[in-house]
Amino acid sequence: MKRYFLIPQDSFICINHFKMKKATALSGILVLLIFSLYAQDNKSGLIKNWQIEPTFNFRYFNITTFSEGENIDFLNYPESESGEPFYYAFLGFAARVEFNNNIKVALNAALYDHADPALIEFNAGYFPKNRWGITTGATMFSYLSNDFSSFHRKKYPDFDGNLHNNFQQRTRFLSAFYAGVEYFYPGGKTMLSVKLQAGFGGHHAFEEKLQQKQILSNYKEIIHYKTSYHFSPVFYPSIEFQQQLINAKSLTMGVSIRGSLFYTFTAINYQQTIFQWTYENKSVKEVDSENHPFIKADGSLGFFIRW
Amino acid sequence: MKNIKKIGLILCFTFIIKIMASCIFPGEAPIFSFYPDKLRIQLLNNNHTYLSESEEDSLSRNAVALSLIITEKREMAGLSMKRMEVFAPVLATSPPDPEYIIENPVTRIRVVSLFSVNEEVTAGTDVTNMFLFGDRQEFLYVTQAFALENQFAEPYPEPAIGFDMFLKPVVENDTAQFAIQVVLEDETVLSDTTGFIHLY
Repeated sequence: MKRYFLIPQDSFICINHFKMKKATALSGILVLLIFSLYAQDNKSGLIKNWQIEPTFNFRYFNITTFSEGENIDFLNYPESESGEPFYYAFLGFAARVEFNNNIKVALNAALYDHADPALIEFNAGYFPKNRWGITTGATMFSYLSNDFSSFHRKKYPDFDGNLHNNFQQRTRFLSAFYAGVEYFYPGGKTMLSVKLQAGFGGHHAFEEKLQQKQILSNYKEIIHYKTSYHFSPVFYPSIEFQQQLINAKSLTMGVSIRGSLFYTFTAINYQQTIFQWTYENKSVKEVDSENHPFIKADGSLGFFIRW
Repeated sequence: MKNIKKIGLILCFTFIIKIMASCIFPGEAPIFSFYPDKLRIQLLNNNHTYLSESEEDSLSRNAVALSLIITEKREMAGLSMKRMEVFAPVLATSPPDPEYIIENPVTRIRVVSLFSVNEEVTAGTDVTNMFLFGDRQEFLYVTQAFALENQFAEPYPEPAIGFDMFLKPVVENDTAQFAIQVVLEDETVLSDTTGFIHLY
C-alpha cells in the first residue's frame, strides 16, 4: 500500500536550525577566507587596510497586509498583530578588506537574541575612479511570522485546529542578490559612502502542515503547504558614515553609522494539498498570492578598528 | 583518624562500583506471544480533539466510533503481571516491561449494521467498507488492510490488540447497532454485537 509521509511539524524547527548552521558555516568560511588573505598579505602586500567592527543594530519591518481571501496568504502574518510595523535590536559584526587594486570586500553578520541569523551579507566593490565604484553582493536575513493558523480558525469555525503544534512562531528567511553603484567620499577624518543597488530576491521555500478535526464528527483533514522560491525585484540603497577618533601610527579607531533600506514587492506562492480522512484521499491546487510591499530598514552603530 | 580515612575510601570505592554497575544495560524486554480468543466492543467518544472511551450508550450521529479489543482469555492474569520483578544490581534503571506479539493474527473484520444507516444502507447491510481505522502513529485514518498489516509493526505492552473504527457516513437513524465478526488466521471467528447506540 502506498503511504504518504509528511515532514513532522517539529522538524521545521530543525530545518530552521539547519539553515542557521548553514549560515554559520558560510560565515565561518568567509572569516577563514579573510584570515587566509591576512596570512597571504604578509608576503604579497596586496592589501591596503583591514577593518573590523562590532555593531549594534536596529531593524524596522513593515509588511503591508491585506484582508484574507479564500486561500491563506502567509505574508499576512508577520510578527506584529494586525500588520503593524515591528522592530528588532541585535548585535553584529562587520569586517572589511581594502585591496591596493581598488577592490573592497565586506562581510556583515548578525544574530538575533532568539538565535536566528539576523543578517549575513557579502559585498564587493570595484573603484576604477577615485570616488565612484560598482558594487555587487548577496544578503540573507530573517524575521518572525506569527500564528498563521488563525486563518483556519476563522475559515473553519466548526473545526478544532488546536492539535499538534499548529500555533508555533516560524522564522522566515529572505535572500537577495544585487548590484549597483557606490559614491565614496574620503574626507580627512571622515568618510561617506552612498550605494544605490538593485537586484532580485525573495522568501526561501518552506513547508507547513496543519491538522484539524471537525467537532462532533469523525472527519479529519491535514492541510499541507509547500511554498516555492519567488524572485521579485529588490531596491536596496544604503549609506555609511565613518568618523575617526584615534589615529596612532598604523592603527585607526573610530565610530561608524550605517543605514539601509530593503524594499521589495513580493508574494509567497505555494502548493496546497488537503488530505481528507486518509492520506490516499487528497486534492492538490496551486495558489498564487498577491504581491505585498515589504520594507526592511536597518540602522547600525559600530566601533571600528582599522590597520 | 586512620579509621575515618579507611571508611571514606570504602564508601568512595562502593560508590564507584555502584555507578559502574548502574551503567550496565538492563537487557532487552522479554517478549511473549499471545493467542487472541476473546472479542470485546467498546464505544468511543470522538466528538472533540482527543479520543476517549465513552461511558454512555449515546454518540453523535456524525461521530460513530467503536473500539475492538481482542485479547487472550487469560488477559487478566497477564495484566496483573505488568512489571517483571527481576534481580538488578542497582535500581538506577528499572528492568524493562514485558512485551507481547500476536500469534494467530486477525485477517478480516466484518461489520453488519442491524439498523438502517440512511435510505441507501438498510438494516442487515455489510458496512465494513464504511469504517476507517485509527492508527497509533498517524493523525489521519487508515484502511482496514493497512490496519491489519500494522498488527506486526511493533510489540504490544499488554496481551491485547485493539482496532479503533470510525464510521464515515452520517447515520440518519436515531439508533444504531452493529454485529462484528473478527476472523483470525486459523479461521477462528470471534463475534460480538454492540448494544443499542442512541444517536443525537
